[in-house]
Amino acid sequence: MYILSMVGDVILTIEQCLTGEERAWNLFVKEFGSVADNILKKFSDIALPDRENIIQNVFIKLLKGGLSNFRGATKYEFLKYFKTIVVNEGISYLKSEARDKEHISLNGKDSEGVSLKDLISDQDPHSRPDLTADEKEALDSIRKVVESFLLIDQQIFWMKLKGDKDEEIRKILKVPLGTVASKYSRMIIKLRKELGER
Amino acid sequence: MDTAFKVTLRKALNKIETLKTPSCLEVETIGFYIEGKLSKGEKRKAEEHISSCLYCLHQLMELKELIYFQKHKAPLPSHLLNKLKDLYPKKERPIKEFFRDIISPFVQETANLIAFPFRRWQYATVSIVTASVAVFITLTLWIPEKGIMTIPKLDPNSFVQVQSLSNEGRILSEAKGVIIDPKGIVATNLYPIMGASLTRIILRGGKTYQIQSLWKDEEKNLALMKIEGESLSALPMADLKQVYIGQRVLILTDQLKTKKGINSAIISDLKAYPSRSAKGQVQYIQLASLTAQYTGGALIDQEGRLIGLLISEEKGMNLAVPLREAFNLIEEQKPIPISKLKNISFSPEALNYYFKGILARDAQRNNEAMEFFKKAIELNPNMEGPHLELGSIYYIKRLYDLEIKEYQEVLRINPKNTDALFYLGEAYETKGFYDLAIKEYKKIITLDPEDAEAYYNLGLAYLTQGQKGKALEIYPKLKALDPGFAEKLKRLASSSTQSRHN
Repeated sequence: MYILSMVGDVILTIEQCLTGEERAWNLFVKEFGSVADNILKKFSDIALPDRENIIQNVFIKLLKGGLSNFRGATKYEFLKYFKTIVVNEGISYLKSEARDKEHISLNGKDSEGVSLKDLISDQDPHSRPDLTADEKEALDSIRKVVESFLLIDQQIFWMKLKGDKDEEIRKILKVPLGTVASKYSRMIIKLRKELGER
Repeated sequence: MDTAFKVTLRKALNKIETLKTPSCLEVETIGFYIEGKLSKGEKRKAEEHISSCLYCLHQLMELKELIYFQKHKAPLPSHLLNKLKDLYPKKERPIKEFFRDIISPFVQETANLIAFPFRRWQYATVSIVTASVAVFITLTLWIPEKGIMTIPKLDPNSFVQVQSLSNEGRILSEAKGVIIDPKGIVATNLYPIMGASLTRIILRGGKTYQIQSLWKDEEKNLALMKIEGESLSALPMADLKQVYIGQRVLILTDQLKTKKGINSAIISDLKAYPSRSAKGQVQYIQLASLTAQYTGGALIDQEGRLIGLLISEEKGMNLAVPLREAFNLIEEQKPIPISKLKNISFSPEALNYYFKGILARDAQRNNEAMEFFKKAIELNPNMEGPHLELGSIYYIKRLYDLEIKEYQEVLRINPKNTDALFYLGEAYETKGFYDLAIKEYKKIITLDPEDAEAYYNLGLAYLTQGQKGKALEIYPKLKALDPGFAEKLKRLASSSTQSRHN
């Protein structure tokens, strides 16, 4: 009965985990293990054994103070906090693996030619200081164009830009596939004009 | 899109944090927005901000994805799940001896508790004084045993009896009424009167008035009637701003007796109608009644000021409407002959379903609310509220065609409902029918030339159609009504020009 009443209440589950309730931990692991796996799957070149190791490290971090140091009050804050831990753990795991084994496909390009290594290196704000001004300008241009779209179109645009596949966009935003493709192509023409002719 | 272009964009987006401003939305607000837990007004504000803030758009999409992951769980491999479960440190629970560990401490604690006040005389004194105060407060608040006259400022002459009669003079129903204006305005429930040929108001002293017409609000089960007379005893009105959740209030259930005519209740919620025109004003007051039986009547505070009138017809659903705003009915309507009410399709059940829908909607149970609103419409298709509410839910569910149909129904009933016109305009825009949206916004402006939101949306619709000149024509009027909206429109108009030049 008690376990059932906890379903859906993330903060309560966390509190129960911290007070030594093993059943709460089992529920937490079941719920967030899957979330962690989904987050890691977004890095297309992380193999299952690596994902499993990363997920294990994430939960060890949570037990070693990650949960007790969480200061938020809502499940939304926890989701973001959790994602940060998963992403950071993923990055440090892959960096250490890369040092040890060169054969790990850190440079495996996706269909758009963007590799995980590119993404990881961009996490460091000081890695390309020479690009800062350009990036800010580019951001400003994106903002101007995106602002003129309807909110739903903005969301489609954003997901496409982040590399989400049309099928994922359809599921998360609940819009028809045809709409995603047609709207995005119109938006990108507009953006290309703005960025290309600066 | 070519790779280089995409890489440029992605690199730029890695600097998204630099766009964060103090006015950006909290994660919590974005989460509530995603899960449909914001009121329509809050939602509109959130959408306005997100649509002009890349940082918040980024936050929205990130959280939306995480919530999706959480809701659509893919099972983990069982060996991994077991590994993760095993990480949790096991705690050995010592086996307690039943008497030593459980019974004995319990007996000891109880004995300590009983003996505590007597260990020192000061504690005994404090205990006695505390008990006396508690008894005094309980007796003071036990209203049903107190006479009506002992409540300050409450004049029993303010309460009247309303009888509805058939053609033959037979009494069809009786209701309670309250004088809300010394010039003879009486407020009562509408539904007991529907179907009557004539209505009679009886004052406390026995004086009787025949009433031929009234002002009505079907969705609030409220009727106002005028009796001829000067300096009648009207109750002073409570200021709604000072009414609060948790406030203890009184329900006057029987105006002609002095005892057992008052029930006590606590205000459990103040419901603002989620429409633009209501501007957040309280439309319904929900009560937690302290009595099990159904009660109707006037709602008053403990100073004897009138707050509202109970309107629900169903036991267990204690809703009241505030009366301070009721005078608006007199300004907005012409009095309707009571005999004409016979021809109006009417179902008290419909109102009950409508209220149930509102309660379900407020509790974020949208599917349940939808069923209640549909039932209300089935019983009475001519109530605006359930159609408007249903339209709102269809909007949340992205069923835009159904949403449009509901707003059109509201406008069939009342073509001047500016809320329905506004939401219809927004729904048309969502569907990409900007011409139709423009028509609806123009109708609102004709009905209410001070409606800033309608001007703003009209301007946006013009911009989307590339009619920048027309959008800027609106600017001076919008600036006078709402400078914030005006500046935003101007900024958007300017960026649309730049895009076209490029």
